[in-house]
Amino acid sequence: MSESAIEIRELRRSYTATRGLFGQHRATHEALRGISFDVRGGELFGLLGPNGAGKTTLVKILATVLLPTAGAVRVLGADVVRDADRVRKEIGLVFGGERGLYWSLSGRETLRFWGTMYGLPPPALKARVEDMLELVGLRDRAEDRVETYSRGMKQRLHLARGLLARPRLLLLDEPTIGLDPVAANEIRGIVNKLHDEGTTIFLTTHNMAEAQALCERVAFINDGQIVLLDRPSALTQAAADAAQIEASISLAALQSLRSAIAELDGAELSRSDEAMSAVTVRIRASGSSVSRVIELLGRLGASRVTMTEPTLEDVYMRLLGDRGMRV
Amino acid sequence: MSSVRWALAVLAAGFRIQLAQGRGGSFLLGAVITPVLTTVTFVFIGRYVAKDAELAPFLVVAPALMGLWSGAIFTAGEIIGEERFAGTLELLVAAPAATELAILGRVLASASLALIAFPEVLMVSALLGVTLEVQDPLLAAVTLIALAVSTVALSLLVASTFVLARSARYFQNVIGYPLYIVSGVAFPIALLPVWLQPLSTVVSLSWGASALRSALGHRSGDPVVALVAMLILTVGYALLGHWLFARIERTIRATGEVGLSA
Repeated sequence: MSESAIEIRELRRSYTATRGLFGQHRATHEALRGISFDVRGGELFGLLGPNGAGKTTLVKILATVLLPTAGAVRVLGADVVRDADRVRKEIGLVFGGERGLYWSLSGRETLRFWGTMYGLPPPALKARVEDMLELVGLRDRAEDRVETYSRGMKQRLHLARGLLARPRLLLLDEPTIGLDPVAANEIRGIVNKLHDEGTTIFLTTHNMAEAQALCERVAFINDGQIVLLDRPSALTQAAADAAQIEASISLAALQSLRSAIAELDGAELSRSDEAMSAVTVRIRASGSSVSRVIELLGRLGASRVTMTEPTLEDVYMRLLGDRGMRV
Repeated sequence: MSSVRWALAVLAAGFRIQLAQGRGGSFLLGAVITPVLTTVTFVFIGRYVAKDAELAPFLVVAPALMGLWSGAIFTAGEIIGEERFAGTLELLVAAPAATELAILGRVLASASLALIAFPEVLMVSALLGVTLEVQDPLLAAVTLIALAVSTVALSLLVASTFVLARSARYFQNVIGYPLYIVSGVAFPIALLPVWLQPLSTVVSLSWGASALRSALGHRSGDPVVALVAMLILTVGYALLGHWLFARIERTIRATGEVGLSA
Protein backbone atom coordinates (compact mmCIF):
# COMPACT_ATOMS: atom_id res chain seq x y z
CA MET A 1 0.00 0.00 0.00
CA SER A 2 1.52 3.34 -0.92
CA GLU A 3 -1.20 5.66 -2.21
CA SER A 4 -2.53 8.26 0.23
CA ALA A 5 -4.77 6.95 2.99
CA ILE A 6 -5.55 10.51 4.07
CA GLU A 7 -5.51 13.59 1.84
CA ILE A 8 -6.06 16.94 3.47
CA ARG A 9 -6.26 20.10 1.37
CA GLU A 10 -6.63 23.64 2.70
CA LEU A 11 -8.69 22.37 5.62
CA ARG A 12 -10.27 24.98 7.82
CA ARG A 13 -12.50 24.54 10.83
CA SER A 14 -13.89 27.29 12.99
CA TYR A 15 -16.18 27.25 16.00
CA THR A 16 -18.66 29.95 16.88
CA ALA A 17 -19.42 30.44 20.54
CA THR A 18 -22.36 32.52 21.69
CA ARG A 19 -22.51 34.45 24.92
CA GLY A 20 -25.11 36.55 26.67
CA LEU A 21 -28.66 35.73 27.73
CA PHE A 22 -29.98 35.54 24.16
CA GLY A 23 -26.74 34.45 22.54
CA GLN A 24 -26.32 37.93 21.11
CA HIS A 25 -22.52 37.96 21.44
CA ARG A 26 -20.80 35.68 18.98
CA ALA A 27 -17.11 34.90 18.88
CA THR A 28 -15.47 32.75 16.22
CA HIS A 29 -12.36 30.73 16.92
CA GLU A 30 -10.43 29.16 14.07
CA ALA A 31 -9.16 25.75 15.21
CA LEU A 32 -7.66 24.71 11.85
CA ARG A 33 -6.30 27.35 9.48
CA GLY A 34 -5.91 25.88 6.02
CA ILE A 35 -3.79 22.79 6.62
CA SER A 36 -2.70 20.43 3.85
CA PHE A 37 -0.84 17.14 4.02
CA ASP A 38 -1.11 13.46 3.12
CA VAL A 39 -0.74 10.27 5.12
CA ARG A 40 0.46 7.30 3.06
CA GLY A 41 -1.24 3.93 3.10
CA GLY A 42 0.28 1.65 5.75
CA GLU A 43 2.07 4.55 7.42
CA LEU A 44 2.21 5.25 11.16
CA PHE A 45 1.82 9.01 11.25
CA GLY A 46 2.02 11.20 14.36
CA LEU A 47 0.42 14.57 14.94
CA LEU A 48 2.06 16.46 17.76
CA GLY A 49 1.15 19.74 19.33
CA PRO A 50 0.10 21.49 22.52
CA ASN A 51 -3.41 21.48 23.99
CA GLY A 52 -5.84 23.40 21.82
CA ALA A 53 -3.59 23.26 18.76
CA GLY A 54 -6.25 21.51 16.66
CA LYS A 55 -5.27 17.82 16.97
CA THR A 56 -8.60 16.49 18.24
CA THR A 57 -10.53 18.71 15.83
CA LEU A 58 -8.63 17.11 12.96
CA VAL A 59 -9.24 13.59 14.28
CA LYS A 60 -12.96 14.31 14.59
CA ILE A 61 -13.10 15.57 11.01
CA LEU A 62 -11.30 12.44 9.79
CA ALA A 63 -13.80 10.35 11.77
CA THR A 64 -16.77 12.24 10.20
CA VAL A 65 -17.96 13.42 13.62
CA LEU A 66 -17.24 17.02 12.68
CA LEU A 67 -17.76 18.76 9.35
CA PRO A 68 -15.01 20.96 7.89
CA THR A 69 -15.75 24.66 7.53
CA ALA A 70 -13.75 24.75 4.26
CA GLY A 71 -11.30 22.63 2.33
CA ALA A 72 -11.34 18.95 1.39
CA VAL A 73 -10.51 15.76 3.25
CA ARG A 74 -10.44 12.31 1.70
CA VAL A 75 -10.03 9.16 3.75
CA LEU A 76 -9.09 6.04 1.78
CA GLY A 77 -10.37 7.78 -1.33
CA ALA A 78 -13.75 8.78 0.15
CA ASP A 79 -14.77 12.34 0.92
CA VAL A 80 -15.50 12.78 4.64
CA VAL A 81 -18.53 14.98 3.93
CA ARG A 82 -20.16 13.43 0.87
CA ASP A 83 -19.09 9.81 1.49
CA ALA A 84 -19.24 9.74 5.29
CA ASP A 85 -20.90 6.31 5.32
CA ARG A 86 -18.05 4.80 3.29
CA VAL A 87 -15.43 6.41 5.51
CA ARG A 88 -17.11 5.11 8.67
CA LYS A 89 -16.91 1.50 7.45
CA GLU A 90 -13.15 1.76 6.91
CA ILE A 91 -11.93 3.49 10.06
CA GLY A 92 -11.50 2.70 13.73
CA LEU A 93 -11.64 5.58 16.18
CA VAL A 94 -10.00 5.41 19.58
CA PHE A 95 -10.06 8.28 22.04
CA GLY A 96 -7.74 8.39 25.02
CA GLY A 97 -9.02 8.65 28.59
CA GLU A 98 -12.07 7.23 30.27
CA ARG A 99 -14.80 8.74 28.09
CA GLY A 100 -16.53 6.81 25.33
CA LEU A 101 -17.52 3.75 27.34
CA TYR A 102 -20.80 2.52 28.82
CA TRP A 103 -19.73 1.92 32.38
CA SER A 104 -22.62 -0.41 33.26
CA LEU A 105 -21.70 -2.85 30.49
CA SER A 106 -19.12 -5.60 30.82
CA GLY A 107 -16.09 -5.61 28.54
CA ARG A 108 -17.63 -8.37 26.43
CA GLU A 109 -21.02 -6.60 26.19
CA THR A 110 -19.23 -3.41 25.15
CA LEU A 111 -17.46 -5.14 22.28
CA ARG A 112 -20.62 -6.97 21.19
CA PHE A 113 -22.52 -3.69 21.08
CA TRP A 114 -19.88 -1.90 19.01
CA GLY A 115 -19.40 -4.92 16.76
CA THR A 116 -23.10 -4.69 15.92
CA MET A 117 -22.75 -0.96 15.27
CA TYR A 118 -20.02 -1.85 12.76
CA GLY A 119 -22.21 -4.44 11.04
CA LEU A 120 -20.41 -7.64 12.07
CA PRO A 121 -22.79 -10.59 11.56
CA PRO A 122 -23.53 -12.57 14.76
CA PRO A 123 -21.28 -15.65 14.23
CA ALA A 124 -18.29 -13.55 13.14
CA LEU A 125 -19.00 -11.04 15.88
CA LYS A 126 -18.73 -13.61 18.64
CA ALA A 127 -15.37 -14.90 17.41
CA ARG A 128 -14.03 -11.42 16.75
CA VAL A 129 -14.99 -10.21 20.23
CA GLU A 130 -13.10 -13.12 21.79
CA ASP A 131 -10.06 -12.45 19.57
CA MET A 132 -10.02 -8.79 20.56
CA LEU A 133 -10.38 -9.61 24.27
CA GLU A 134 -7.42 -11.95 23.88
CA LEU A 135 -5.37 -9.38 21.95
CA VAL A 136 -5.75 -6.71 24.64
CA GLY A 137 -5.48 -9.16 27.52
CA LEU A 138 -8.97 -8.63 28.93
CA ARG A 139 -10.34 -12.13 28.55
CA ASP A 140 -10.20 -12.87 32.28
CA ARG A 141 -12.11 -9.69 33.11
CA ALA A 142 -14.50 -9.79 30.14
CA GLU A 143 -17.59 -10.35 32.28
CA ASP A 144 -16.77 -7.56 34.75
CA ARG A 145 -18.38 -4.19 34.40
CA VAL A 146 -16.29 -1.47 32.75
CA GLU A 147 -16.70 0.71 35.86
CA THR A 148 -14.50 -1.75 37.76
CA TYR A 149 -11.66 -1.53 35.21
CA SER A 150 -8.42 0.34 35.81
CA ARG A 151 -7.58 3.21 33.49
CA GLY A 152 -5.19 1.02 31.53
CA MET A 153 -7.83 -1.68 31.09
CA LYS A 154 -10.36 0.88 29.87
CA GLN A 155 -7.84 2.10 27.33
CA ARG A 156 -7.17 -1.44 26.15
CA LEU A 157 -10.93 -1.93 25.79
CA HIS A 158 -11.08 1.29 23.75
CA LEU A 159 -8.41 -0.07 21.47
CA ALA A 160 -10.19 -3.43 21.13
CA ARG A 161 -13.39 -1.57 20.22
CA GLY A 162 -11.55 0.44 17.58
CA LEU A 163 -10.11 -2.72 16.03
CA LEU A 164 -13.30 -4.83 15.95
CA ALA A 165 -14.18 -4.15 12.32
CA ARG A 166 -10.58 -4.62 11.07
CA PRO A 167 -10.24 -0.97 10.06
CA ARG A 168 -7.86 -0.04 7.24
CA LEU A 169 -7.24 3.26 9.04
CA LEU A 170 -6.97 3.57 12.80
CA LEU A 171 -7.34 7.01 14.37
CA LEU A 172 -5.77 7.15 17.82
CA ASP A 173 -6.36 10.36 19.76
CA GLU A 174 -3.86 10.43 22.62
CA PRO A 175 -4.25 6.71 23.35
CA THR A 176 -1.72 6.63 26.19
CA ILE A 177 -2.79 9.80 27.99
CA GLY A 178 -2.79 9.35 31.76
CA LEU A 179 -1.51 5.78 31.62
CA ASP A 180 1.32 4.47 33.77
CA PRO A 181 4.50 3.52 31.85
CA VAL A 182 3.70 -0.21 31.82
CA ALA A 183 0.15 0.27 30.49
CA ALA A 184 1.35 2.85 27.94
CA ASN A 185 4.00 0.43 26.77
CA GLU A 186 1.40 -2.32 26.30
CA ILE A 187 -0.68 -0.01 24.12
CA ARG A 188 2.40 0.96 22.09
CA GLY A 189 3.20 -2.73 21.59
CA ILE A 190 -0.26 -3.37 20.14
CA VAL A 191 -0.02 -0.27 17.92
CA ASN A 192 3.34 -1.45 16.60
CA LYS A 193 1.94 -4.88 15.86
CA LEU A 194 -0.99 -3.40 13.94
CA HIS A 195 1.36 -1.24 11.95
CA ASP A 196 3.48 -4.27 11.09
CA GLU A 197 0.30 -5.94 9.83
CA GLY A 198 -0.27 -3.06 7.41
CA THR A 199 -2.88 -0.93 9.17
CA THR A 200 -2.53 2.79 8.52
CA ILE A 201 -2.35 4.58 11.86
CA PHE A 202 -2.93 8.25 12.56
CA LEU A 203 -1.82 9.03 16.11
CA THR A 204 -2.03 12.23 18.09
CA THR A 205 0.07 12.51 21.20
CA HIS A 206 1.80 14.85 23.61
CA ASN A 207 4.41 12.24 24.27
CA MET A 208 7.45 13.06 22.13
CA ALA A 209 9.35 9.90 23.04
CA GLU A 210 6.32 7.84 22.01
CA ALA A 211 6.08 9.65 18.67
CA GLN A 212 9.80 9.25 18.06
CA ALA A 213 9.69 5.55 18.87
CA LEU A 214 6.54 4.71 16.90
CA CYS A 215 6.01 7.09 14.01
CA GLU A 216 7.45 7.01 10.53
CA ARG A 217 6.58 10.66 10.00
CA VAL A 218 5.34 13.34 12.36
CA ALA A 219 3.75 16.75 11.93
CA PHE A 220 3.81 19.53 14.48
CA ILE A 221 0.61 21.52 14.70
CA ASN A 222 0.34 24.86 16.46
CA ASP A 223 -2.53 27.36 16.44
CA GLY A 224 -4.30 25.33 13.75
CA GLN A 225 -1.34 25.28 11.35
CA ILE A 226 1.17 22.58 10.44
CA VAL A 227 4.52 24.09 11.32
CA LEU A 228 6.78 21.11 10.52
CA LEU A 229 6.34 17.72 8.89
CA ASP A 230 8.99 15.08 8.31
CA ARG A 231 10.51 11.84 9.56
CA PRO A 232 11.51 12.05 13.23
CA SER A 233 15.13 11.30 12.29
CA ALA A 234 15.16 14.13 9.74
CA LEU A 235 13.68 16.54 12.25
CA THR A 236 16.19 15.67 14.94
CA GLN A 237 18.98 15.76 12.35
CA ALA A 238 17.92 19.29 11.47
CA ALA A 239 18.09 20.14 15.15
CA ALA A 240 21.54 18.57 15.32
CA ASP A 241 23.13 21.65 13.81
CA ALA A 242 23.57 22.38 17.47
CA ALA A 243 25.19 20.01 19.95
CA GLN A 244 23.28 19.06 23.08
CA ILE A 245 25.52 19.17 26.12
CA GLU A 246 24.31 17.92 29.46
CA ALA A 247 26.21 18.39 32.70
CA SER A 248 25.81 18.57 36.43
CA ILE A 249 27.09 21.64 38.27
CA SER A 250 26.81 23.01 41.78
CA LEU A 251 23.98 25.38 42.64
CA ALA A 252 26.57 28.05 43.46
CA ALA A 253 28.08 27.88 39.98
CA LEU A 254 24.73 28.14 38.16
CA GLN A 255 24.60 31.94 38.04
CA SER A 256 28.15 32.19 36.69
CA LEU A 257 27.26 29.64 34.03
CA ARG A 258 24.13 31.58 33.03
CA SER A 259 26.09 34.83 32.64
CA ALA A 260 28.90 33.21 30.68
CA ILE A 261 26.48 31.36 28.34
CA ALA A 262 24.54 34.57 27.72
CA GLU A 263 27.73 36.19 26.43
CA LEU A 264 28.60 33.29 24.13
CA ASP A 265 27.45 33.45 20.50
CA GLY A 266 25.69 30.25 19.38
CA ALA A 267 25.12 28.83 22.87
CA GLU A 268 21.91 28.67 24.83
CA LEU A 269 20.99 27.23 28.21
CA SER A 270 17.88 25.24 27.32
CA ARG A 271 17.02 23.61 30.63
CA SER A 272 18.14 23.42 34.22
CA ASP A 273 16.68 20.96 36.70
CA GLU A 274 17.61 21.87 40.24
CA ALA A 275 18.14 19.18 42.83
CA MET A 276 19.38 19.58 46.43
CA SER A 277 22.79 21.08 45.83
CA ALA A 278 23.47 20.31 42.17
CA VAL A 279 21.88 21.36 38.93
CA THR A 280 21.56 19.37 35.74
CA VAL A 281 21.92 21.78 32.84
CA ARG A 282 21.27 21.27 29.18
CA ILE A 283 23.05 23.54 26.78
CA ARG A 284 22.57 23.84 23.06
CA ALA A 285 25.72 25.01 21.34
CA SER A 286 26.93 25.23 17.76
CA GLY A 287 30.20 25.80 15.90
CA SER A 288 33.14 27.05 17.92
CA SER A 289 30.97 27.67 20.97
CA VAL A 290 30.88 23.90 21.64
CA SER A 291 34.49 23.74 22.79
CA ARG A 292 34.14 26.98 24.74
CA VAL A 293 31.07 25.63 26.58
CA ILE A 294 32.95 22.46 27.51
CA GLU A 295 35.93 24.51 28.70
CA LEU A 296 33.56 26.71 30.72
CA LEU A 297 31.92 23.70 32.34
CA GLY A 298 35.35 22.36 33.25
CA ARG A 299 36.28 25.67 34.90
CA LEU A 300 33.04 25.68 36.92
CA GLY A 301 33.72 22.18 38.20
CA ALA A 302 30.93 20.47 36.28
CA SER A 303 30.65 16.70 36.45
CA ARG A 304 28.97 14.08 34.24
CA VAL A 305 29.45 16.15 31.08
CA THR A 306 27.85 14.35 28.11
CA MET A 307 26.99 15.18 24.52
CA THR A 308 23.51 13.86 23.67
CA GLU A 309 21.56 13.33 20.48
CA PRO A 310 18.74 15.81 19.97
CA THR A 311 15.26 14.37 20.44
CA LEU A 312 11.83 15.27 19.11
CA GLU A 313 11.26 16.97 22.43
CA ASP A 314 14.14 19.33 21.63
CA VAL A 315 12.58 20.06 18.25
CA TYR A 316 9.21 20.61 19.93
CA MET A 317 10.66 22.93 22.56
CA ARG A 318 12.48 24.94 19.93
CA LEU A 319 9.32 25.30 17.89
CA LEU A 320 6.73 25.77 20.59
CA GLY A 321 8.63 26.36 23.79
CA ASP A 322 7.61 30.02 23.99
CA ARG A 323 3.93 29.11 23.99
CA GLY A 324 3.79 28.70 27.77
CA MET A 325 0.32 27.98 29.20
CA ARG A 326 -1.51 29.63 26.29
CA VAL A 327 -4.31 27.59 24.67
CA MET B 1 -25.79 -9.22 6.85
CA SER B 2 -28.78 -7.65 5.06
CA SER B 3 -29.61 -4.06 5.94
CA VAL B 4 -32.91 -5.07 7.55
CA ARG B 5 -31.21 -7.67 9.76
CA TRP B 6 -28.50 -5.18 10.62
CA ALA B 7 -31.10 -2.52 11.51
CA LEU B 8 -32.89 -5.00 13.77
CA ALA B 9 -29.59 -6.07 15.35
CA VAL B 10 -28.73 -2.41 16.10
CA LEU B 11 -32.21 -1.86 17.59
CA ALA B 12 -31.72 -4.92 19.77
CA ALA B 13 -28.23 -3.78 20.76
CA GLY B 14 -29.63 -0.38 21.81
CA PHE B 15 -32.38 -2.19 23.73
CA ARG B 16 -29.78 -4.22 25.64
CA ILE B 17 -27.71 -1.13 26.42
CA GLN B 18 -30.75 0.48 28.01
CA LEU B 19 -31.49 -2.61 30.09
CA ALA B 20 -27.88 -2.73 31.23
CA GLN B 21 -27.87 0.97 32.10
CA GLY B 22 -31.03 0.40 34.16
CA ARG B 23 -29.26 -2.21 36.29
CA GLY B 24 -28.03 0.63 38.47
CA GLY B 25 -31.44 1.22 40.06
CA SER B 26 -32.57 4.38 38.26
CA PHE B 27 -35.16 2.27 36.46
CA LEU B 28 -36.55 1.11 39.78
CA LEU B 29 -37.12 4.67 40.90
CA GLY B 30 -38.56 6.03 37.65
CA ALA B 31 -40.65 3.21 36.23
CA VAL B 32 -41.62 1.22 39.32
CA ILE B 33 -41.88 3.49 42.34
CA THR B 34 -43.20 6.71 40.77
CA PRO B 35 -46.44 5.19 39.36
CA VAL B 36 -47.19 3.67 42.79
CA LEU B 37 -46.81 7.03 44.49
CA THR B 38 -48.85 8.81 41.81
CA THR B 39 -51.63 6.23 42.14
CA VAL B 40 -51.76 6.65 45.91
CA THR B 41 -51.94 10.45 45.49
CA PHE B 42 -54.70 10.26 42.87
CA VAL B 43 -56.80 7.76 44.78
CA PHE B 44 -56.68 9.86 47.94
CA ILE B 45 -57.50 13.04 46.04
CA GLY B 46 -60.43 11.13 44.51
CA ARG B 47 -61.63 10.06 47.96
CA TYR B 48 -61.44 13.59 49.24
CA VAL B 49 -63.18 15.20 46.27
CA ALA B 50 -65.99 12.73 45.68
CA LYS B 51 -67.06 9.21 46.15
CA ASP B 52 -68.32 9.25 42.61
CA ALA B 53 -67.48 5.97 40.88
CA GLU B 54 -67.25 7.95 37.60
CA LEU B 55 -63.91 9.22 38.75
CA ALA B 56 -62.39 5.77 39.06
CA PRO B 57 -61.24 5.41 35.42
CA PHE B 58 -59.47 8.75 35.66
CA LEU B 59 -57.85 7.86 38.97
CA VAL B 60 -56.38 4.68 37.54
CA VAL B 61 -55.75 5.58 33.90
CA ALA B 62 -53.96 8.82 34.75
CA PRO B 63 -51.09 7.40 36.85
CA ALA B 64 -50.68 4.47 34.46
CA LEU B 65 -50.33 6.72 31.41
CA MET B 66 -48.22 9.23 33.29
CA GLY B 67 -45.96 6.36 34.33
CA LEU B 68 -45.65 5.18 30.73
CA TRP B 69 -44.90 8.61 29.35
CA SER B 70 -42.60 9.74 32.09
CA GLY B 71 -40.74 6.44 31.94
CA ALA B 72 -40.25 6.67 28.19
CA ILE B 73 -40.10 10.36 27.34
CA PHE B 74 -38.01 11.44 30.30
CA THR B 75 -35.63 8.60 29.56
CA ALA B 76 -35.37 9.74 25.94
CA GLY B 77 -33.96 13.03 27.16
CA GLU B 78 -31.77 11.26 29.67
CA ILE B 79 -30.36 8.98 26.97
CA ILE B 80 -29.04 11.82 24.82
CA GLY B 81 -27.60 13.62 27.83
CA GLU B 82 -25.94 10.41 29.01
CA GLU B 83 -24.49 9.56 25.59
CA ARG B 84 -23.08 13.04 25.19
CA PHE B 85 -21.66 13.17 28.72
CA ALA B 86 -20.08 9.72 28.41
CA GLY B 87 -18.50 10.63 25.06
CA THR B 88 -20.31 7.73 23.38
CA LEU B 89 -22.47 9.98 21.16
CA GLU B 90 -19.36 10.87 19.13
CA LEU B 91 -18.49 7.20 18.71
CA LEU B 92 -22.09 6.37 17.71
CA VAL B 93 -21.99 9.10 15.05
CA ALA B 94 -18.61 7.78 13.81
CA ALA B 95 -19.94 4.20 13.52
CA PRO B 96 -21.46 2.94 10.25
CA ALA B 97 -24.86 2.06 11.79
CA ALA B 98 -27.49 4.77 12.06
CA THR B 99 -27.16 6.51 15.44
CA GLU B 100 -30.92 6.96 15.38
CA LEU B 101 -31.49 3.21 15.45
CA ALA B 102 -29.32 2.68 18.52
CA ILE B 103 -31.12 5.53 20.30
CA LEU B 104 -34.48 4.14 19.15
CA GLY B 105 -33.53 0.75 20.62
CA ARG B 106 -32.83 2.41 23.95
CA VAL B 107 -36.10 4.35 23.81
CA LEU B 108 -37.97 1.15 22.93
CA ALA B 109 -36.52 -0.55 25.99
CA SER B 110 -37.49 2.28 28.30
CA ALA B 111 -41.05 2.36 26.88
CA SER B 112 -41.37 -1.42 27.26
CA LEU B 113 -40.18 -1.27 30.84
CA ALA B 114 -42.51 1.63 31.54
CA LEU B 115 -45.49 -0.56 30.56
CA ILE B 116 -45.08 -2.17 33.95
CA ALA B 117 -46.95 0.87 35.28
CA PHE B 118 -50.29 -0.59 34.05
CA PRO B 119 -50.50 -3.82 36.07
CA GLU B 120 -48.84 -2.05 38.94
CA VAL B 121 -51.37 0.79 39.04
CA LEU B 122 -54.30 -1.65 38.79
CA MET B 123 -52.89 -3.61 41.69
CA VAL B 124 -52.19 -0.62 43.92
CA SER B 125 -55.59 0.95 43.24
CA ALA B 126 -57.31 -2.39 44.01
CA LEU B 127 -55.41 -2.52 47.30
CA LEU B 128 -56.73 0.98 48.03
CA GLY B 129 -60.29 -0.10 47.27
CA VAL B 130 -60.66 1.24 43.74
CA THR B 131 -61.52 -1.70 41.55
CA LEU B 132 -62.05 -1.48 37.86
CA GLU B 133 -63.51 -4.02 35.55
CA VAL B 134 -62.00 -4.25 32.11
CA GLN B 135 -65.19 -4.43 30.09
CA ASP B 136 -63.57 -4.67 26.69
CA PRO B 137 -60.30 -6.63 27.05
CA LEU B 138 -59.59 -6.56 23.31
CA LEU B 139 -59.92 -2.78 23.16
CA ALA B 140 -57.75 -2.46 26.29
CA ALA B 141 -55.01 -4.66 24.80
CA VAL B 142 -55.03 -2.91 21.41
CA THR B 143 -54.99 0.49 23.09
CA LEU B 144 -52.08 -0.44 25.33
CA ILE B 145 -50.01 -1.66 22.38
CA ALA B 146 -50.92 1.43 20.35
CA LEU B 147 -50.01 3.63 23.31
CA ALA B 148 -46.63 1.93 23.71
CA VAL B 149 -45.81 2.31 20.01
CA SER B 150 -46.98 5.90 19.99
CA THR B 151 -44.90 6.63 23.07
CA VAL B 152 -41.80 5.26 21.35
CA ALA B 153 -42.46 7.43 18.28
CA LEU B 154 -42.96 10.53 20.40
CA SER B 155 -39.89 9.68 22.46
CA LEU B 156 -37.79 9.58 19.30
CA LEU B 157 -39.12 13.02 18.42
CA VAL B 158 -38.28 14.26 21.90
CA ALA B 159 -34.84 12.61 21.80
CA SER B 160 -34.14 14.31 18.45
CA THR B 161 -34.85 17.74 19.85
CA PHE B 162 -32.84 16.94 22.95
CA VAL B 163 -29.81 16.28 20.74
CA LEU B 164 -29.77 20.03 20.15
CA ALA B 165 -30.01 20.95 23.81
CA ARG B 166 -26.76 20.42 25.68
CA SER B 167 -28.68 20.53 28.95
CA ALA B 168 -31.41 18.14 27.85
CA ARG B 169 -31.72 16.84 31.39
CA TYR B 170 -33.25 20.12 32.57
CA PHE B 171 -35.83 20.18 29.78
CA GLN B 172 -37.01 16.64 30.37
CA ASN B 173 -38.33 17.66 33.79
CA VAL B 174 -40.33 20.49 32.29
CA ILE B 175 -42.16 18.83 29.42
CA GLY B 176 -44.12 16.21 31.38
CA TYR B 177 -46.89 18.21 33.04
CA PRO B 178 -47.78 20.40 30.02
CA LEU B 179 -48.33 17.12 28.12
CA TYR B 180 -50.44 15.62 30.91
CA ILE B 181 -52.56 18.76 31.13
CA VAL B 182 -53.14 19.07 27.39
CA SER B 183 -53.87 15.36 26.99
CA GLY B 184 -56.47 15.33 29.75
CA VAL B 185 -55.23 12.10 31.27
CA ALA B 186 -56.34 13.10 34.75
CA PHE B 187 -59.50 15.03 33.91
CA PRO B 188 -61.89 15.52 30.98
CA ILE B 189 -60.47 17.73 28.23
CA ALA B 190 -63.70 19.74 28.35
CA LEU B 191 -62.41 21.28 31.58
CA LEU B 192 -59.51 22.91 29.73
CA PRO B 193 -59.87 26.48 28.41
CA VAL B 194 -61.50 26.38 24.96
CA TRP B 195 -58.41 27.83 23.26
CA LEU B 196 -56.25 25.02 24.65
CA GLN B 197 -58.54 22.14 23.72
CA PRO B 198 -57.51 21.84 20.02
CA LEU B 199 -53.95 21.13 21.19
CA SER B 200 -55.07 17.91 22.80
CA THR B 201 -56.07 16.52 19.40
CA VAL B 202 -52.40 16.34 18.34
CA VAL B 203 -51.31 14.57 21.52
CA SER B 204 -51.79 10.82 21.06
CA LEU B 205 -51.94 10.32 24.80
CA SER B 206 -55.32 12.10 24.92
CA TRP B 207 -56.79 9.64 22.37
CA GLY B 208 -55.17 6.71 24.12
CA ALA B 209 -56.56 7.79 27.49
CA SER B 210 -60.01 8.14 25.97
CA ALA B 211 -59.88 4.67 24.35
CA LEU B 212 -58.58 3.14 27.56
CA ARG B 213 -61.37 4.68 29.62
CA SER B 214 -63.84 3.30 27.07
CA ALA B 215 -62.35 -0.16 27.60
CA LEU B 216 -62.93 0.35 31.33
CA GLY B 217 -66.61 1.12 30.73
CA HIS B 218 -66.46 4.91 30.79
CA ARG B 219 -67.74 6.07 27.39
CA SER B 220 -65.69 9.06 26.35
CA GLY B 221 -65.99 9.20 22.58
CA ASP B 222 -65.80 6.55 19.90
CA PRO B 223 -62.82 4.27 20.67
CA VAL B 224 -62.33 3.41 17.00
CA VAL B 225 -61.95 7.08 16.12
CA ALA B 226 -59.51 7.38 19.02
CA LEU B 227 -57.42 4.44 17.76
CA VAL B 228 -57.34 5.75 14.18
CA ALA B 229 -56.32 9.19 15.45
CA MET B 230 -53.56 7.58 17.51
CA LEU B 231 -52.32 5.66 14.49
CA ILE B 232 -52.17 8.79 12.33
CA LEU B 233 -50.43 10.78 15.06
CA THR B 234 -47.95 7.97 15.71
CA VAL B 235 -46.96 7.79 12.04
CA GLY B 236 -46.64 11.57 12.08
CA TYR B 237 -44.42 11.54 15.18
CA ALA B 238 -42.23 8.79 13.68
CA LEU B 239 -41.76 10.56 10.33
CA LEU B 240 -41.12 13.89 11.98
CA GLY B 241 -38.73 12.30 14.49
CA HIS B 242 -36.79 10.53 11.72
CA TRP B 243 -36.53 13.69 9.62
CA LEU B 244 -35.57 15.79 12.61
CA PHE B 245 -32.93 13.34 13.83
CA ALA B 246 -31.15 13.32 10.45
CA ARG B 247 -31.24 17.13 10.25
CA ILE B 248 -30.13 17.63 13.81
CA GLU B 249 -27.30 15.11 13.54
CA ARG B 250 -25.94 17.06 10.57
CA THR B 251 -26.42 20.35 12.41
CA ILE B 252 -24.42 19.26 15.43
CA ARG B 253 -21.67 17.87 13.19
CA ALA B 254 -21.51 21.32 11.63
CA THR B 255 -21.59 23.22 14.92
CA GLY B 256 -19.25 20.83 16.72
CA GLU B 257 -21.78 19.92 19.40
CA VAL B 258 -21.73 16.12 19.10
CA GLY B 259 -19.48 15.96 22.14
CA LEU B 260 -18.91 18.20 25.09
CA SER B 261 -15.57 19.43 23.81
CA ALA B 262 -14.13 20.25 20.42
